[in-house]
Amino acid sequence: MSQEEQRIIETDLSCLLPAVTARKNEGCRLVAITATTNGNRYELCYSFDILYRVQTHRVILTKGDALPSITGIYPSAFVYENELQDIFGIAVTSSQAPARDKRPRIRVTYPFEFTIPDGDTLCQNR
Amino acid sequence: MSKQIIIPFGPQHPVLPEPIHLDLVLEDERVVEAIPTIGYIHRGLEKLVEKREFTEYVYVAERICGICSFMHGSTYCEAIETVMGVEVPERAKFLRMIWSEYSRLHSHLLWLGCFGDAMGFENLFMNAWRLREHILDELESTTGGRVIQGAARIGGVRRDISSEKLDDMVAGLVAMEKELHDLINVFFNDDSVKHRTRNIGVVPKDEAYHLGAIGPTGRGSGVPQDMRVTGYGAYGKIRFEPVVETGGDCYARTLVRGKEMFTSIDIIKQAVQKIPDGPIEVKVTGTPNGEAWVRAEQPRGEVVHYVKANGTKHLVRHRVRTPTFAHVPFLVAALKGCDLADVPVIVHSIDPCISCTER
Repeated sequence: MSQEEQRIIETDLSCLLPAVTARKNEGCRLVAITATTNGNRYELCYSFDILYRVQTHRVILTKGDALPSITGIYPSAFVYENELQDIFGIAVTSSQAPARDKRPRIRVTYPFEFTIPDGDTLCQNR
Repeated sequence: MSKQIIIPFGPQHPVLPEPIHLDLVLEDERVVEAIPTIGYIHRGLEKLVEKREFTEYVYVAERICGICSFMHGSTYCEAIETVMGVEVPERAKFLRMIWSEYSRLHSHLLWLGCFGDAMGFENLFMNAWRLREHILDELESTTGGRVIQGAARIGGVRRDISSEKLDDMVAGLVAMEKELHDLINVFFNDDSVKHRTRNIGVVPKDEAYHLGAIGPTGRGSGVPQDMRVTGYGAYGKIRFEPVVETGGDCYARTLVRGKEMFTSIDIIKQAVQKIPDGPIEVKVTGTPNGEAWVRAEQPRGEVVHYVKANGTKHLVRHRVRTPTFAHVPFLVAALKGCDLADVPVIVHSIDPCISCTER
């Protein structure tokens, strides 16, 4: 069992960029951005580390809403934001990421973009 | 400004063991920008939590990577144990640590071989992999598997190691140490190797930290981050110092991995001395309900396993942030300004594991 403290800070979407800026000013390292499908919305977790302590900002994003990019604060966030676009279909705005390969590809589906009819009841055996 | 051209590097390339694509924007022979593309072997393993019970999923987690297979399995188990509040027996923690350090030795030797090959030293490749065989043999004899060990389970481990075998393992490592010194001596002191690695792909400490560099890649730039010092598992019972170099170039990253192998051997020796008797697993009943982030130090750096469960036998989400995934921005920065001929060496210097990255 891990003894690491699991610190989660519920953060409004409108407060995301100020909160991330505050973490940057504290000297935190971006650990990961994780998304979870939850009913008609996504739970986004922005995890930061400083001196082996992780704190996670949890942001709720309604499907169809755009997510402001944090690449202006943490340039390395582009890999996570690209992943959000690719497997969840989340639109990320104002990204300062390197230009993506624009050669035509066949997009079959977004594997994590699905809607569960009964809202928050997750994880039935699909 | 010279005329810019774009040279594609990968996804298939003689020095790449796994597929990643880089669009290298060149002015003459100098790389001015590298645009990465991944996703060629995406396997959707995280999605499988919807189809596999959380106990079965250990086998899937182990298959995220063929090099640090055991560490993915044990970190996933630790995440589930954290959610369920399961305290693993001390002996199991030590066994997990021993197998994890064997995995690190296996990984670093594999990397040294591939790195030597990328520089054009095929003999180094063969010698490094010859030593690696001994490590794989020990993993096979103690877990039953050379590549996928299958030894981790939720609540402990599947197999014990007898005290005679533990002593035998230490004797094998002691015998291997001299050969390892001879091999590492070439990587550390050979003029040709230095010529190919020194002042190549330099990323300073501050930049490396803010780009999220971790593990040997970050420590090669002077970022003293090693998750093992947090004392997770049985690491709190072991004394060791993380290897840190300040050069920030390919040579520094080679030094870190080379020296870390001796740290791993020392950790295994300490573990064999301190491993307590007792059970190797506890019975786990019920289903997980909650979420946990668990981190561990893999051969390439910090790995994060996030699990979220809602009390059913299927997890809501399992997310793995692998070290190589976090190193893509570092790689882009390291390539900027380098010569085209140095690209293979720089790409190899972060020890890319694309299978981990693609999950």
